[in-house]
Amino acid sequence: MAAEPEKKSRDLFWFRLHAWVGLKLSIFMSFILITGTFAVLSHEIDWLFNPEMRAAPVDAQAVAWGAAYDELKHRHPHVDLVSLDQYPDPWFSIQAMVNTHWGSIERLWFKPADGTYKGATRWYNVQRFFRMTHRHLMLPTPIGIPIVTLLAVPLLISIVSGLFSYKKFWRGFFRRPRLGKGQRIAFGDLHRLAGLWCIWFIVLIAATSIWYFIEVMGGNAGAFPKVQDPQPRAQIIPAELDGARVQAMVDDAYQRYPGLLVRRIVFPQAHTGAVVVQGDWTAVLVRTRANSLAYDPLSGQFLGGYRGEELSIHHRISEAADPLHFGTFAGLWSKVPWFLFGVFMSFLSISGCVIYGQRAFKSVSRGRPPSQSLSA
Amino acid sequence: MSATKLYWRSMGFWKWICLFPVVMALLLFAAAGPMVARTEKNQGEQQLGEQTFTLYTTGAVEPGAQLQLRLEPVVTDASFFLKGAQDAPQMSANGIALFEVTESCEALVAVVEFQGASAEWLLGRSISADC
Repeated sequence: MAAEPEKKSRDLFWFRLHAWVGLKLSIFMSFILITGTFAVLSHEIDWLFNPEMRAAPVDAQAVAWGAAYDELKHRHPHVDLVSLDQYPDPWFSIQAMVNTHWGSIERLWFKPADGTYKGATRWYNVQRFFRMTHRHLMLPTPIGIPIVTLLAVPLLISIVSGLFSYKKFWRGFFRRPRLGKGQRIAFGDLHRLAGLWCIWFIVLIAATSIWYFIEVMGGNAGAFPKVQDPQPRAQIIPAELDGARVQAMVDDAYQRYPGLLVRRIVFPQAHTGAVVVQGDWTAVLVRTRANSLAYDPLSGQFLGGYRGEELSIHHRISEAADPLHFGTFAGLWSKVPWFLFGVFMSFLSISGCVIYGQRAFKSVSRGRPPSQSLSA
Repeated sequence: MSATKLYWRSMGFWKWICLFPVVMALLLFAAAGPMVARTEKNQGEQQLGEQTFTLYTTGAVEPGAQLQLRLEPVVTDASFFLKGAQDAPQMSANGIALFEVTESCEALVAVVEFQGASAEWLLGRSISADC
């Protein structure tokens, strides 16, 4: 007999916890969820807005890295080149990230087929807005990242308390939402349905967020395997490094790692740095930097390299966090579902507020305080 | 009272805790671009007569933008010239000259002191213009 009231009180506790966490953090949580959702497709949004970024697709191994390098040096000989990048989707131009002498960072774009210059865009773009506000709120990363990633805790509380307060939730996966019975019921049904289908996604996002928190608190994987040092030189990027030599490095990378898809060439920023060719290869759930080959900028000599499979478990976890968090592991094919689940997650946060507001309104209409709505 | 108002009131003090980082992130992003133009950049040292001078610039080499030049140590009896600028203003007492960049391509700063000695700093080309 005593078990029934005890169960009711337990259910009420979970429901109140779910509503409290969702309500009190709703503005901040919604902001992070919405910016994160758009961050998934932010490169594509920039691609739509900027014709310089669009290019006719070419085979990944036919990308004219050397020609793009020569064209850059011809057009803007005074900028400091940071990297040449080719996004995984083939309809993007080659991007050169450069620092100007007056302190700005710019993006220059080149045709992948022949390296022809297409134009320049600002470093601050849609992608940077969503990426930086979502990741660290534009604050210094040691402050911003912990603030954002700690939202994983209320996310997990929401999912656990939601499941405890939703009786026999396993029956709800295919329950049709009652859309014709008023706004509150419709929102409530859609909230529960979206919540159930998003469980795996919420757990994944929370887990990767906790990993980002661990990394920023000092648990990062550390340096990648060491390669030989390049020979001493006077200039950071020597005059001997031309397009032909850059292309020769890429071709050498293809020979050493057959099947490698070169995505990025990182140029030295110090007199002791190497040219590093990076790309996607056989290891799954890693960033492009997991497959790297280093070359001497002066002689073009191969200095060493490593592939994703050779990295430690710690490195592999670290490398997997981004592809899993942003769904970048299969290009647009994985980014679109990640974006849609991001929309569902954002909807959960917003619809929770709508449900609360309507419940509170109903309570007040009946002459009860708004907090009574949490006991329903 | 509407449902929205009830929701807003029910958040209590937490709404300000939540709004603070959101508003701050938006403001910081809005300020981030202009902040680059306000940051002074060391353009390196050059010999001018018997002395070594360092040139500092503030702003971008872009048509329509203002570029501020400053020499250290301060020298007032010299002239600044900027290729790509409309006119060559005299340096102020604290060694600063402000240029309106009108042309689009290469920005070359030349400083000529009264005895005729000169020094040049090449800042690079405008990125946004078609040079």
